[in-house]
Amino acid sequence: MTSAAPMPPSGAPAEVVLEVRGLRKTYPGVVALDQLDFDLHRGEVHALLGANGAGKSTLIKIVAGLYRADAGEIHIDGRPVDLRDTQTAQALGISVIYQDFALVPHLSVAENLFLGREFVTPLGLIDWRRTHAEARRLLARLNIDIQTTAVVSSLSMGQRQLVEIAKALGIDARVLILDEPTASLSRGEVDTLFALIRKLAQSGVGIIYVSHRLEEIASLVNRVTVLRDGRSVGTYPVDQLDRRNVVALITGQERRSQETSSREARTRGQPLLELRHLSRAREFEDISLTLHRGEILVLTGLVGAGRTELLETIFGARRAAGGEIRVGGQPAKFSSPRDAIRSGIALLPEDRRGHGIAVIMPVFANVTLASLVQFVRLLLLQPKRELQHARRMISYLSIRTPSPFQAAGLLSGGNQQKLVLAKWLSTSAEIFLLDEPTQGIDVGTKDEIYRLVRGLAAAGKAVLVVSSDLEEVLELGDRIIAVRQGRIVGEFANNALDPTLLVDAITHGRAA
Amino acid sequence: MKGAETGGWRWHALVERIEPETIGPSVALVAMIVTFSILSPYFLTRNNFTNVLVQSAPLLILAAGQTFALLMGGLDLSQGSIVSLVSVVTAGVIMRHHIVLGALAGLGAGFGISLVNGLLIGRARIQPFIVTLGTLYMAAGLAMVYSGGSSIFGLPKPDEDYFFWFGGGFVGPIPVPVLIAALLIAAIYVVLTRTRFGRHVYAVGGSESVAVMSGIELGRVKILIYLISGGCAALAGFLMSGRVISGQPLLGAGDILLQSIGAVIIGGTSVFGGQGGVLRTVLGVLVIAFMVNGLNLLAIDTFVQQVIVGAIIILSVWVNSLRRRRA
Repeated sequence: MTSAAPMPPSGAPAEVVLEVRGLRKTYPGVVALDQLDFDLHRGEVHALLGANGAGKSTLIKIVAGLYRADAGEIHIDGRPVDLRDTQTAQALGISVIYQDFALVPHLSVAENLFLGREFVTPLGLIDWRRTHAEARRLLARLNIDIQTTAVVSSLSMGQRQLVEIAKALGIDARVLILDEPTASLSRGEVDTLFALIRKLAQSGVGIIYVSHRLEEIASLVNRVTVLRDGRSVGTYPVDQLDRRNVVALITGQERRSQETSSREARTRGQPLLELRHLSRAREFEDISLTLHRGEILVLTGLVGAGRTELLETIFGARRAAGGEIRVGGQPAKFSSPRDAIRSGIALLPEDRRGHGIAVIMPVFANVTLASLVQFVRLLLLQPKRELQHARRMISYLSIRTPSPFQAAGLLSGGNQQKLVLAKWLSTSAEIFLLDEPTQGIDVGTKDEIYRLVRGLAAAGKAVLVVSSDLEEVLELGDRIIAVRQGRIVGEFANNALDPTLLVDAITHGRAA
Repeated sequence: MKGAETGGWRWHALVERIEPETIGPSVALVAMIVTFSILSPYFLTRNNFTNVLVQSAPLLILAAGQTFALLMGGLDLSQGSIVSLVSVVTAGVIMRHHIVLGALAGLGAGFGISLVNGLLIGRARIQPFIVTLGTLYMAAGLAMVYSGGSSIFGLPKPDEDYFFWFGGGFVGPIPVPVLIAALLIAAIYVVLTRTRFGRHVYAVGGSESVAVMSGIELGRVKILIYLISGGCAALAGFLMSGRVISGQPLLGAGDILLQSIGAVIIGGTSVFGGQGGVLRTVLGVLVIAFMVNGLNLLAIDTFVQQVIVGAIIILSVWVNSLRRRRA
């Protein structure tokens, strides 16, 4: 699959708005980009695909003026440009929406939308009336229903993403880059976003769309460029690709057939975690469920359906207002995550960089962070054993890192997620709560994580997964519980389940 | 791989391998020593070096404690006032009772303030800056109230001699305060690099929410951090008072607090927390101590010295941020 077919010019000669030639970027010990060529036409939506660590983020950050390339050229409208900082890139009409949100949490939506380019009165004071009017106009154009006075920290992740997009569009963009834009959006929000992207493309904006969700590509995208190990493995019109050969291009190999048989092979054991009428004001209500040993139970629903809050309550990070949690048949009262961890519960959080790994700590210290006690002899940590254990986990989960001393934040998203898993696999956890475990993770790593999750269940652990990715829900779940607006609206055995039933329950609250 | 395994991996390699942050202050230290040796014939003498070490021992102890607060992403502003309070309480109780009781009461008063810091920061969850700003005033005030605003001297014999031994005595050729500082720093080094608590300090400084979600007791870690920071200040206050054989209500009111914070920063510990270590702090203290000493020998005005120390603090952080931006 290495013989990349050159892209034939289709129809009218396209106008190239952004052209990248021979880009190279290295970090100590890693070549992130190598001889990369890429071009973007006016009015096209161009998907950028690749595994974690393939170089997508690096490419985007160079084009955004955040990083500087070691070698290579960038042309805008045929003219060579020097993108020395983000202001320069913005002035040239390059606008980026990052995966990690770039909003100021304590400022209002309107303030965030016009941050750095505020409207001022002749006296130099901020013109609040104009700010809010413009903000309302911008949001209305995008069909986003959020108050302009709302403080960003009070918004859900999905709402924040919409504000972020609105902010990027507020700048007159000629090149718009979206990094994994739908990761935390509900289906309705995704439709809104897609309609918007099409409209923008028609008006002549060149759009680079970075994504892992292959199914999104077909309906939206004109061309696809696949990166692997810092190089482009080819640019193709979208209609020349199907799902299978995209996966092959990304991973450099054929994807193994899916392991559907393993589900039937497992047997359900004793109940390990029971929730009885668990409630928390305005988050979730009257949640009752039972999770057994050797079982994968998936909780699905739209963003904002109260699922993350539920997991955090089970984990002791939030206090339940009513109801009961039982672990191994005994009622459990957790006042902190520490209590929950001691009872054998592990949480893989949705906010990986905020709650999962300490980004400035080295990889090995992240692996052992929750299980340090087992490396202590006579009050002292035993570095040799600790490091040995970390190396074992790194190779067991095939975490890609130059060394165990590397700062964890420098790993790619998928490897960070594996690192969180490594942290919990190092403890004696029996109950695994996984919140959107493969969000923003490439297909190759996704499969590895699915295999690990099934392995947990096969080893007699109990796994509770929260996911909005329908494909993932159907692939992982032995049982599936649909949640809508904080309530359980349906339970399904995943046995020749018709996905439309599930979607219906999630979006309309109709139980099967 | 084999070479990297054996060469790269001794323990101090893990938390404090030769890190780029230490290059700046090391170069500064060497450059200073060379310059002063050329400019002053007296600088490079054994006498002078012993002097510098004895004088900088209290600062070493203070800054070693301060390192914990900065590693957590916090700050301990009350250290100087604790020095003053410990000084007058120790001397006052020695006057009326006995050196043992004096030491217990003095150090106890220092630990009391530290415990207040720890509880307000760890349990009541108030910002360290605000809490220690408050206790800075409170402890300074208590020192004045206790002493009536005047120095306490004329301590009885033989207590006076014991007291002086801690601040100015010798064990063989080694000055006592230097010995105490060295032992303390060795202990702190082991705590930071080899204990769970030490790792938890780095984790809390790296990301509080990740630490909590990993089962670390945030409150307990913070209380211990401020007990250590304040406890170090109490010990330094005791040694400093012994050296002047008296209780001074303004003993810690001068430069010493800002030097303590400055030394940690110059050494290369991050003000945002999570990165650094006590060996870097030793480096920072040496930079300050030798500079002050050298400038004194060259008869440069103390006010000019302040300007230079300030510039070095800014410069060291700036150099580190430049390096980070380039990476």
